[in-house]
Amino acid sequence: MTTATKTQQPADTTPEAREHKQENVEVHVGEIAVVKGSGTLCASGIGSCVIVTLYDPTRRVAGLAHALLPSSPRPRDENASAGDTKYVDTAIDAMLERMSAYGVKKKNLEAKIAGGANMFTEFQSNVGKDNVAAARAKLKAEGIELVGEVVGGHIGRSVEFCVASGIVTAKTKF
Amino acid sequence: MVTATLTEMTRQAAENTSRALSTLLNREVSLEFQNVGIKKVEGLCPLIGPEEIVSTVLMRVTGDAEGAAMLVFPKETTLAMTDLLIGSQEQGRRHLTEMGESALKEVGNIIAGAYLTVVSNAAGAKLIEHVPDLASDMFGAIMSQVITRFAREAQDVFVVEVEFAFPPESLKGYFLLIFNKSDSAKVFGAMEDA
Repeated sequence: MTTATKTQQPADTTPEAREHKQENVEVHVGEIAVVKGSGTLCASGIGSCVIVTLYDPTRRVAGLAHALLPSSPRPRDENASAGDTKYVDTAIDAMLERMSAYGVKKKNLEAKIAGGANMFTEFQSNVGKDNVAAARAKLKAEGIELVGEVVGGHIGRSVEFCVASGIVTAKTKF
Repeated sequence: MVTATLTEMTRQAAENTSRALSTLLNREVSLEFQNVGIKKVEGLCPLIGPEEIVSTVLMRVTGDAEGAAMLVFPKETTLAMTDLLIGSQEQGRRHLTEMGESALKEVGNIIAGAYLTVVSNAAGAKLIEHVPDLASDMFGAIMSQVITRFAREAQDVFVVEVEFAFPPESLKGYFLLIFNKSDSAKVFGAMEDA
């Protein structure tokens, strides 16, 4: 049973469409996915992006956000969409909204985060750190417990989130 | 669409790069730039998978336009390339040495320099290439950081397959150019239409 996400893509490439086609749902950059019951949510090749997983262990409802940037520019930018899931804060908002359709309460959720690396040593970028900080701050503001994280460094990661168990596996390749 | 301008610019860049590498290595090296084109960022995925291990030489570009030039090699190609560049005798080696990293950076530097010179001339813009940096990891992880820095919205990226012919061997990689959203149209427009 699934529900999902943003986007402005053609219908057959949305996470929702992919969720209906397969057990393993690949969540691309700027997308979220929410699944109940079984299957795996995956995100590949994560560098400075941050992955935020939310899980209700009693209802076995799982959400994964693959966010590119720390926080939505609203209200400064009137064109910014509140549902723009490429930002950490609005992606978490969108996941919570989807998960509430399954009767999930925020107080029952546990969160994990992964990613936020800086892939180059000399090419300085703080976006990875900023993404992680934005995720921690948003989760704290929402009162959701952060139970685990694998973040930072100079290494890419791929994440698999098992919906049945709530276990998040972060892999590196080198 | 591949315009005559883009084809001519690519020919000039290939000639300049071949000459520079041949001089540097004191042996015949020729480069062929194939499948040249300007794609959407998401169009890169069919070329290189997000979890494929690559080595990427990245050079920031500043001046009249801000962006990055990148030379991307799959892992196996990276090792073969460094063997050819520095004449390594370490058969079966599975990792990059400091000397190999330096050689790769220099190749990236040469290709970026050649391309940026012809792009600069076509666009009438001053483009300054910076010191090369190197990352070896999953392609998706590397690209996401570059996209975040230079192209926060769906953007164009210039892509060309680079085939290095070190007779009798040849190796293939990719050369990419990406610019800020505000500069992208100016530079790529000039590359297509000049």
